[in-house]
Formats: sequence, structure tokens, C-alpha cells
Amino acid sequence: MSLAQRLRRSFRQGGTWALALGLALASNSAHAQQPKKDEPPPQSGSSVPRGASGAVLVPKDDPNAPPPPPPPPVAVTPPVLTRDDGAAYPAEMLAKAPRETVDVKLVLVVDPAGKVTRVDVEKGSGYEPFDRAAVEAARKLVYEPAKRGGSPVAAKVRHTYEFAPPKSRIVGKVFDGTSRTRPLAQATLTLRAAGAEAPAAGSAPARKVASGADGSFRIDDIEAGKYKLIVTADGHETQEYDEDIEPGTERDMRIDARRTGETPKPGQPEGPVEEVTVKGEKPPREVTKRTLEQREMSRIPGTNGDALRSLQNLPGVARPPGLVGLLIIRGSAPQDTNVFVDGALIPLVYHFGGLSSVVPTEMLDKIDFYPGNFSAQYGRVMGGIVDVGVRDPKKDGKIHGLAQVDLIDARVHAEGPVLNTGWNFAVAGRRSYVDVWLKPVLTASGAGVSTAPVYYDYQAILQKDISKNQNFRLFFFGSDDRLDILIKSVNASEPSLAGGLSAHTGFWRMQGRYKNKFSDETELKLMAAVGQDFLDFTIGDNFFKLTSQVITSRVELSQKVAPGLILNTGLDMLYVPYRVDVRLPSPPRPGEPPSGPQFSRPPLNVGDSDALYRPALYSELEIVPWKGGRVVPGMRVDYAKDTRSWDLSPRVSARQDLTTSPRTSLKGGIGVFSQPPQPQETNPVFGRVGLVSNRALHYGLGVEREVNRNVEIGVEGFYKQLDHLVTQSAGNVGTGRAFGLETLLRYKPDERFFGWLAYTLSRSVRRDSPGEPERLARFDQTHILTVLGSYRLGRGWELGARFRLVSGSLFTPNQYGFFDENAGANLPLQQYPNFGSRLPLFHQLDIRVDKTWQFKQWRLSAYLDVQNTYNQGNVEGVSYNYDYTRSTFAQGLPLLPSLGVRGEL
Amino acid sequence: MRRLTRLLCAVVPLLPLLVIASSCGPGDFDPQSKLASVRILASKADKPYAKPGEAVHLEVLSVDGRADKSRPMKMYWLPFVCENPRNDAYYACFAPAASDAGAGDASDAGRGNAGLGLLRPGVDLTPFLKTGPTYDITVPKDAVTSHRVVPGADVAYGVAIVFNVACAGHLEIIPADPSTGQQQVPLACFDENENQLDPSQYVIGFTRVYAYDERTNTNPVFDRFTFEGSPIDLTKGIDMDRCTTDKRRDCPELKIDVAVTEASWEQNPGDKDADGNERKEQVWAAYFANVGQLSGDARLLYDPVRGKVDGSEIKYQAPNEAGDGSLWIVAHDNRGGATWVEIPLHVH
Repeated sequence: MSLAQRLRRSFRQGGTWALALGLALASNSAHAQQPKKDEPPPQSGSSVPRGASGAVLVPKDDPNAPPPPPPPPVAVTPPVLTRDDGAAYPAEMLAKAPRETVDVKLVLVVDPAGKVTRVDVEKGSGYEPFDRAAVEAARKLVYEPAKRGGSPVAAKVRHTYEFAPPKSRIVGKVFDGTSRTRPLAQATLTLRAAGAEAPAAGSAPARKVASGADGSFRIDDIEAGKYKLIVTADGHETQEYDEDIEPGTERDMRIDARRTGETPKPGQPEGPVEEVTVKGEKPPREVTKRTLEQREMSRIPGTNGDALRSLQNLPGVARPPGLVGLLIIRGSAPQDTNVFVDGALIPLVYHFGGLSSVVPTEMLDKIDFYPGNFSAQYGRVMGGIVDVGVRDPKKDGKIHGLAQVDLIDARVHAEGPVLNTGWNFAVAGRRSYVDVWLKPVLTASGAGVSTAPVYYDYQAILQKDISKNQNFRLFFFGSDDRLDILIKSVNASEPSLAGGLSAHTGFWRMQGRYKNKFSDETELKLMAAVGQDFLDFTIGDNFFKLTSQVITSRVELSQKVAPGLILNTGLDMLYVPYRVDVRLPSPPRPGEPPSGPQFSRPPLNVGDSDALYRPALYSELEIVPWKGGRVVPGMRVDYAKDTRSWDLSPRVSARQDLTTSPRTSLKGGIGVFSQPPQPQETNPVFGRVGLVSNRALHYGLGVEREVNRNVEIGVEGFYKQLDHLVTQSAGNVGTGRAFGLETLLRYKPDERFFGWLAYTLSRSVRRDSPGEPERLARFDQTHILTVLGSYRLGRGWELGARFRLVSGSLFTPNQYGFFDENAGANLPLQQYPNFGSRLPLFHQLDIRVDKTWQFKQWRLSAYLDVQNTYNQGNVEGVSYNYDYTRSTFAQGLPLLPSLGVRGEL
Repeated sequence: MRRLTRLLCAVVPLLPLLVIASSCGPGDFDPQSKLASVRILASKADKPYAKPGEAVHLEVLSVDGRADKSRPMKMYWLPFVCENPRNDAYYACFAPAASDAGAGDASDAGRGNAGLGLLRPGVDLTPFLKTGPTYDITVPKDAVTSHRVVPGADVAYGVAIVFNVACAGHLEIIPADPSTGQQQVPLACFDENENQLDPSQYVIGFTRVYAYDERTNTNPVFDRFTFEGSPIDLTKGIDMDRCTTDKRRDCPELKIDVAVTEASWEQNPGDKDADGNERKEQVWAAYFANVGQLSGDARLLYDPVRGKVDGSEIKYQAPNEAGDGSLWIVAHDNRGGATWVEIPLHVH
């Protein structure tokens, strides 16, 4: 039985109590129409026009005139309901459904044809979705019209809809002992209302079921409420579980029926592992959408709890060298992936390129990651998409606070209600400590330090639930990194990289977000952000100074146009006025060796003000053509003012459930993805005019299977055909390919454990121009294996580990070449084509231990995150002597412990 | 400290700028400042920026730092001036005309490579080459006008590139190496038995002379030299005691400093900051020694933004053995200007 069918729909017609309140044009018509002889007299108690007190309304033309003789009685019959399809229980109320039955009282106007022409809510339910559902249902009612003297007339009637909470269900399995392998048959499961230790008179009787041969059981038609589930079986201890059943949910339980005298194994929970699922979750619009939840983000070993760094552990994401925070997805270059914070594009992901994310983990709700074949709502890149979801402030009416200190930075965070205004707030800030330990190191190396590297970030949120369907949020956030040092030691191979060195990078955004779910069929999402980006970089006599104002907005309207058919239409705007001043040497083209040190050629100067304007429109259909099937065709149209070109990006993704329990799905997609050139590529000085967008054709095909509620496995193959790639100063002459296979075996977070095994096999190649040989892309990594897990031991302890085994990074070997006498530097001969050699295999084990102490009012936690636990000397690069006749491997991180302490209110 | 350095070196890729400051270079390699092989240290032109058609006198500073000098080092000059190669790239001077088109932006190879590509491997080039530390060229009259227009360059310019080789043998053409693509080294140094010598026996260098219609540059001029704070008499050199400890790191560190005249820090026309203010050159001093050990390769003397750099001295550790040697100091500016001095070292 479907959810809608399980709704108890009822109505009470106004026949006896809700007699017609009045007939249309009641008084005037009553007087204007003379009764016909064959009309029946009015029935006693039938509707006649009455005032609020119930008195008959009488026209008062002349107060001095004698009262007219009473009109002859006219027969009036109320309207009779002939068709009612009932009101559907609003889907959006399933998650927050009231546990009591609610009703909506309506007043209807029924025309002489029996159609409802007007619906007014006389008394609402207190929940707008119920009222709306009732009104929509009432408009479809059909009546036998009211009659006056035998002739159909318009009439008003009352009508009431009742909405009873949908029933719920408990399913599960009972296991023999704590083995989790042997099902226990014939266990008795008794469900009774909480507090009713024995069935009381008048209360619902307890319900009993027995587990089947495979240990499974099922209890249907449970009303929402608190229950006690008692499990008894011969030779086993009686176990009781308190269950708070939400309306319209299915609770999936695994019960370990302990044998008499058996004790839980170490690390095993003492109670049942309860897993709650609400069936019918909508599948994603994309072929592959990977979501990291808060716990995963904050607990992955080797990341210091950094949210965005956790992404590097997912399939399809290559390992960047050292601590660099590059996102290298499916063989794409880092700039081919965009990162959004709640839909707003941000220019920087990490402080100083990799130390920590610019938005702290505490602020995040989840991270959605799309490695390819993403929805038409995203564009302007041909790699992947990361959309960071910021959580709303807590709404429990209390003030919460957090302070954390580790070896890199210190942060504070507060959130709670804004008095009794209905608004909630969150504020947070962070400052690095890097300058404290780096300044002595830099000074010892001979540098004069004015400002040692330091970073800040800050966030503030104001949020309000305007109604149950409307949510508004203001989010202000930003980041600031800066350093200022004087390098007195001149590097032999690059003398110009000496002298004053300063860098200041950052951004801020003020973002507004509004969501309104007008009805089950219509939803509007609005996001607008304004802000500023700044990048100011000086070394010696070279500099790069960029200041830009960023205005972005997104509007998406989702409309259910028919059963199984949803249309999503949106506008995605990017407008960036900027000012840039640059003095830099001309960069070599890809594959072309440098012509010498930086100053060996006269530097180029650019001073320019302009604006990037890149609007886009997209439309997408979500089609459910049959059960278990889903097809999402879409089209995106982008315009780039800087290249004066349009990009059409048709895309389609599809999935089909092959089995339902457990669910196995086949999925796939194909689409065009366009990426406008980088600003420097279209610059007439550093690049080339007349460029068009880079283009990628994504193909994806995969299968995923939910082994059980926690465990899922997925395998997906991808192929990306790249063309129109911009080659520096040469135009859209590059081509390339990236292909591979991604496998993910994942245990989703439960009360104890989360973890996964991810393996990616891939190859990414480029051809810079038709005459050049095909070469490996710079970040190509053949094998990427990541195994990680984190387990709550109990008593506040949690232990996690991560192991990575990854092909070595590519590099370009150098050899003895020429001597540049102007610079006094040896210049190497570079292997051709570039990136033709690979460093040794990388492998590393990271371990993280967390301990939490829970006090009455607050919580204290500490963690120790040890990277490279067995101190593997992984190779991250090659170092050469001054004339490139000798070389050695440059090793990466040694064993690196990091400690942090956090207090939370 | 070593672990800290390793950690820092792992972190610095995210801070590319700190690579320079963090001494992440190879720890066990001989530094550039140590002279133990055939080396070219610098070259200078009497007119670092020349006008089209002007004669330019070039001089090269080369040092034979080998212990065994049985086969003497000679300085050879390739007898052509490579004018305006593609993208001003020195290696384009040797690119065969047919394959020079490269990716997209095709233009001709440097004019005047004297048909080097026509010579066959195995031919001894010595009879065709001028030898000695100096060489005179004339900047082609069309050096500026024949250079392609470079968007973003503040004025038109041309470039003439001259190649020279310090070699303890003779020079021959060698076949192209496909593994180095456009960067071909067309010749190598051979001994009398036709054995190709290793890099410690030869250096192939090049110097660029930029041609401008109006712009000029002069070489830096030394102002003073100090050793442990006292002026150095260049005729007598520096006297010091040998280091008597076994551990090099325990040897006394002696401060050597150099200064160039304030006038050497010239305006750099065309170098304007983001606010439009014209700035000056960058000037630095490179140090070399054939005895003892220097604490670095080069020190900054003037920064375009911050001006004169305080604390520009370098530290020197005397060798364990007594004897004589030399210290070379080369002052560069970032527009091709250079000057040098050789200071005798007397270790007692």
C-alpha cells in the first residue's frame, strides 16, 4: 500500500450541520425570483439566508412601511457531494509530521453546475501544507448542485478534510548471539506503547510477531509514538528497546539476541544497532554524486579534520604532492574543477594553497562531490564540482560555543538564537599559528621577515525559517592570507626570485539564500552573492595585482509538470569587474622549455580593467518513465563575454534499478562540458585573443549496489574526450583523453564505524598541438588506492587509520645544458616530451586517535593525528645540483604528529 | 633541524615563494660557489644595452678549477651572432629551420647560426673558432626592427645572442638528441682521442646583448670590499689562518662583504609598480672560491622596491690546508650588466 493510500482520508459533508449558508445572491435573488407554482415549499431546517446570528435576512427598503407579507415557502435542497478523490498527505510533512490527526475546515462555493468555484479556509490546521493540500483537493470536488424550487442555484457549503499521520513500520533481523551471522528464528517480538507495562484497558493491545527462518521480522501499520520492543527467545536474555517511531518511516533494526550469560565482545555495542531509513529518497540528478557527512569530514586520519582535504580520499581524486591542496579529478587539471560554498563560487579552497580549508569543518553540513557528468545546473568547468553545504545554526534555543587549538591554527565558534526573533546566528573565526614557528626558520635561512605567513578566515550566518516551507539565510564569509619577507640569499638557478617577496590573497562573500517550496509540485531556490577577490603578489621587480568584485546568482525553479516528470529551470550568473596590473616575464608554452631565468627576457606589462560576464541558462527534466528508472536530460547555454562565444552543453544521465532489495542500479551518462579560457589565456599580452572554450565530452557507465543499509559498493568507468584545449599563446589546438575505472566499497557512518576502500585505475594524456606527440598529463596517476576507517571504541575514544598506495607523481628529468652568462645560472635540458618519468610508488599510513570527555554543560575533546606513521621516505620530487649533473630524490613529509584540543558548549 | 627542513620542504610547494627562502636545495651537492671543474662564471658587455649597428665588446670570466690541468682549458667563441630567435629562446638558435615552426607561433630561427646545422658530426670545429676571453660583435642594424612586436613590452627591442665554450679539449658537432626536443646542444667537447668529455671538462655558455633604440644600461661598479669588517686591499688579497678543526661546521665563519656604488643602482625604465611609480634595478653579487667554503652562492645588494639591502655579507670558512687560492665576486644587475673582481686568498 502506498503512502498516499495509507493516509486516512475522510471528510464530513455539511449536510446536517453545514447546511447551505446561503445561496448565491441569497436575499436579492430570493426576492427577485417569484416562486413557481410547482416548486416545493422550503424544507424545515433547510437553508435560507440568515445573518450571523442565524436570523433570516430581510431587506429593509422602507423602515416605516408595514412589514410585507411573508413570502411563500420555497423548497431548497443543499448540494450533494458526488465525487471526492481525497486529499493527499503532503510529502514535505512526512519528515515533520504531527503525531495527531489534524483537520482543515473549508467553506466552498458550489456553482449551479455543481463545480467548486471558490474555496476558503475557515479553520486551518496550523500547518500550511495541510491547508494547501485540502484546498487543492476541494477544488476537484463534484456536487449535485443545490436547488431552489427545483432549479440549480449556487450555494455555500462547509467541508472538512482530516489528515491522519501515516503509519510506520519496523523491519529487521534477529541474530543469534553477537555473531551477526546466524539468524535467530522464532524469536518473539512484542511491541507495545511506552508506559503500558501491561495492556491497559482502552489502550491499543500489544502486537506480537515472530522472526522467520532467516531471522527477519516485520511489524506494519504502527502509529507514530513511543514504544517498547521486547525480544524474547528461548535460551536468550530478554531484551527491551525503546523506540520513538516517527510517522511514515520504516525502521530497520538488527538485534543481537544475547544468549543467556553471553557478554558483548570488546568494541561491540551493548544495545542493538538501530538504523533508521525513510524509504523513497530521491536519487541524484547526476550519474555520480558522493556525499561526505560531518563525521567523515572531521575524522578522516591524516587530514587534521579538514573537510575539503577529506575529498582527496574519494575515488577519482588524485593525490596531490606534499600538502598541496589541489583537487585533481579524473585526470583533469586543478583549474578544471570549481568549488562552491552553498552555490557561490569561491576562488580559494585552501590557505596558502594547502594548509587548511578556508571554511572550517564545524560550519559544514556536508560536501557534495561530482567527479564528472554533473548536472546542467553546473557549468564553466570540464573537470568536477565540489559543493560545500554550510549548515544552519542550531535551533534548539540554546547558545552553543566552540574553541579549538591545534599546531596550525586556533578557532572559535558560537551559535544560537537571536533573542526571541525567530532568527538564529552563527559566528566563527580562525587565525593561524604558522608565523610563530615559521618566522624563526625563515630568519635562520637568511630572510628578513616583516610578516611571517599568517592566515585568517571568518564566517557569520543569520538564518530564519520564515515558514515551514520558506527558509532565508545570510552568510558572510571570507579568507585572508599574507606574508612579507625579504630574501637576501639569491638562488643560483633563478636570481630574480630574490628580494622583496610579499603575497596577499583572499576573498569575502556576502551571500543570501532563499528557498520556498510553494507546493509539492513547485519549489524555488534563490542564491545571490557579492564579494571581492584580491591577489597581490610581488617578488623582486615582478608583480601581479588583481582586485575583482564578484557578483554571482543562481535561481532555480523546480516544477512537477506531470506524474514522474519534473522540470528544473535555472539561471546561473557570474559577473566579475576586475582591475589587474602585472609585470611578469612571458611564460613558456606547454611543452616548451623556458628560455632562461625570469629576467632573461624583458618583462611584459599589463594594466587592464574589464569585466568577466558569464551568464548561463539551463533546463533539466527529471523523468521517471517506469518503476526504478530515471532519465535526466538537460541543456545548458553559456555565454562568455570575454570570448564573445556561446556554449551549448547538452547532457543526459540515466539510472535503472535492477533489483530493489538490496538495491542494485545501473547508471550512466553522457554530456558536453565547456570551460571558458582562463583570463590570462585570452589576454593579448600573455595569451592569445580569439579563443573559444575548452570542451570535454564525458561518458560514464557504472553500477552500484547497496549490500545492506550501511554497505554499498560501486564500480564506474569513465571516459573524457577533450578538445579545443587552450595551449598557451597557440590557441585552441590542444586535445586529450582521460579514462579510468573507479571502485568504492563504503561503510556509511553508523553509531560506531565508518570507512571505505577506494581504488581508481586511470590514464590521462594530452597533445598540446597537432604536431606534438601525445604525452601524459601532468597529474596522471595510474593507481590510487585508499583504505580508511574510524571506529568508536566507547568511553569517548575513537581510533582511525588511513592507508594510501598511489602511483608516483610525474616529473620531467633535467640534464646538463647551457650556462646563461647574464644570469650566472646553469640551464637544464629538459626531457621531451615533458612529464615522461614517474617518481617511485607512494605509500603512507596515518593514524588518528580522538578522546572526548563529556561533562554536564560542556564537552572536551582532543585528538592526535599522526601522518606517515611508519616514517616512509616518500618521494615528492627531484633535486638537482647547480649544473644538473647530479640529482637526488626529494622526500616528503616525515612522521608528523599533530595535536588538537577542543572545548564545546 | 634536518627533520624540520624536510617538513618545510614538503610544505613549500604550496608556498612556492618559500622555496627560495627555505634552503630546500640538495644538501650533499657541491654548491655553485665551489670551483672544482671547468667553469664559466660570467660575461659582460661594454654596452649591456646597445643601439642597432653599435659595436659591442664582450668579455667572459672562465676558471679552470680542476685539480688536473694537464689538458688545458680554452675559451672558444662560436663565430656567429644569433639575432632575434623565436621567443628570444637561446635554443632556437640551433633549431633547424624546417622544424622551427613549433606550436603555432612560427617565426624564423635566429638569423646567423652560420649554418651550424649543415656541419656533420665528427668535424673538429677548432680551426673555425676564435679563442680567448674576449669577442667583438656588431649589433645588426635591423636588430630592433626585425624583432617581432611583443605585446606588453614597453618599447621595441631586439636581441643578439653569442655562444662561447670553455673546453679542455676541442669541439665537435654532435647528432641531435631526440629526448630533449627543441633544446638541442649541437656540439660537445672531445679529447685528443675523440672521447667526449664529461661536464666537468666543458661549459657551453651564451650571453645576450639587448638592442634598444634609446635605452641604455651600464655595468655595476664596485665601491668597496670588506673582510671581517675591514677593507680589502685587492692587490694583496686576504690573509687568514687555515681551519684546524676536523668538522667543517666548527670552522670559524669569516664575513666577506661587497658594495657597489649607489650610481650602479640605476633606474629601470619601463619597470613601474602598480601605482605607476618607476623603479630601479635589482643588483646582486655572486661569490666563487677555489679554496675554502662559502655559506651561499649569491647575496642581494639592491632590491627594486626596498633599496639597499642591509646584512648582505656572506660567510667564508677557510680550508684545512694552507695554500693560496682565489675568491671571485661577480656583481650582476637584472638588465644584463655585470662586473667582477678576483681576490687572492692566502691561507696560512
